[in-house]
Amino acid sequence: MNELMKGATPNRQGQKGFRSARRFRRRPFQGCSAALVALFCWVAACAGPEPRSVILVAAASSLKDVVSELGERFERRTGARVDFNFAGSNILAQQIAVADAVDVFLSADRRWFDFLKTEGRIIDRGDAVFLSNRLVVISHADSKLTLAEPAGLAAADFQHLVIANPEAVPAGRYSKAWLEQVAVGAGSLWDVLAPKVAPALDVRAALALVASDPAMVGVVYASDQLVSERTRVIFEPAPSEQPAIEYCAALISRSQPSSVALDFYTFLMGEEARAAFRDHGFEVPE
Amino acid sequence: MNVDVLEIVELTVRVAAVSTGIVIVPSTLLGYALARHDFPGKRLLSTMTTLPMVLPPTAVGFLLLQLLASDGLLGRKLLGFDLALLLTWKAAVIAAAVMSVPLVVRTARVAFEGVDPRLEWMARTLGYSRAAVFFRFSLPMARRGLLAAVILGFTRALGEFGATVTIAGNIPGRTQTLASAIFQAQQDGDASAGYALMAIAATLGFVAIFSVEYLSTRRPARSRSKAGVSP
Repeated sequence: MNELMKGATPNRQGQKGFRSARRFRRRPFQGCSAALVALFCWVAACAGPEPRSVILVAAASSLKDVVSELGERFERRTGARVDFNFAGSNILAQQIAVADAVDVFLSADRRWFDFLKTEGRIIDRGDAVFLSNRLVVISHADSKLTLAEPAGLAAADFQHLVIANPEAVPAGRYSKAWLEQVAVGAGSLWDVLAPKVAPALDVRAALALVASDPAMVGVVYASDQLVSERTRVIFEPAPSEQPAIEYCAALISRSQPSSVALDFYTFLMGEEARAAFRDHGFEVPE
Repeated sequence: MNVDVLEIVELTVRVAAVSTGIVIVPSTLLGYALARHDFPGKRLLSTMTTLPMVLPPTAVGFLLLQLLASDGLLGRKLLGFDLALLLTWKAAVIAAAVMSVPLVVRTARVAFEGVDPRLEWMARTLGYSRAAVFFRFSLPMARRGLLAAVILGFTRALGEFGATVTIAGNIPGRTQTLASAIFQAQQDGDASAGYALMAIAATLGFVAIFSVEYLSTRRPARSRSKAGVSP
């Protein structure tokens, strides 16, 4: 009853309302406006055009360690800034196709390089293949699993086979291609293992998943396994039985090209970079 | 731990602050219009502005991507030049703004609905123009709800992930926000970075929500005005 009365008495409500309104008139949102002004000064300071001595390199996630290291060396030497975006080559290619933001693209396979070529986003510089790699089967370092031949995976005791997304990510596509080549009974190893496949966003995510759970087995690049102490190689397919792994480098056409992009591209193709790639477990074609 | 925490926090707060700054005025006006006025298409407008809240953020991101792509609706073909927003922090602002609009509009609307319309009519009879009534009476009386709306919008923007990675990517030092850095840390198996970033996100969220709680339950300071204003 009391509540009802309150609502029905315009006088009380009115006084309360006008009182707060009056207080507002005495003390307007000074603090708020000051904060807003400060905010927009900050934004204005941040929003200036990026100097084009800064480039963005989109690189396959398997290249993370070595290319970051090379990037730092390049920055120290030239004073330019190189930003990196590491992800599955498929994700990067899709981004480059729609956005004018990336200067150099390092793809882990030919498919996504060709995709951007047909999109007209690549400046043609002849043969693009600059690296190769090998696949290895890995498990958690604590896992007791051993493997004499790949077909042994069909009967091995593990929960999930972790590979990068086999439909799109290069590492996953290579892994699937290899598993399809291995004959088990009337079909292929892929047919047997497909229900156990846990697709990861990129090869480094697959590596991290295997490193975190002994019930997992994964297929990653040999160079990836080298950076993870919590995994071990349980099988290494012979090079002749693996699909050819081809990393492609591309200079992306930009509306405002930067000479730093070409410099960095050239640096990556140079002898010093090739040595670094070899040190990190990649194979460098002659 | 392999992340630049300060850089990530700075970018996250900047993105959330700018998107809130963009959203605040139109959303407040829209909230007022929805609370006070009847017009054709009102329900439709209200539903449309709420849609980003119920759609998967990736769906919103996908739509924005199609709009902003170089050959998209707002791309080179139509505008004649490329806005070049994709994969920049500005794209993250757009994503955060779109995702926080529903929360700000709805909260603002409720705040205005809590103001007794009779007070506004009274002010009108006293000769105040509509704009004056809005600025001198409606806005001050709804201010606590509006502040809550702004804070909620800000926190929504802080945590935005799905639409952000779709159009801004997850580029360290450029577009990597707290949300996407945590995702990256998990993908990389970098637990220490994940914990550190999670703790920061939790702290920011706690402070924001606690302020909303405080604002919405605190009794208005009445004693002082009692002394100054006679009944």
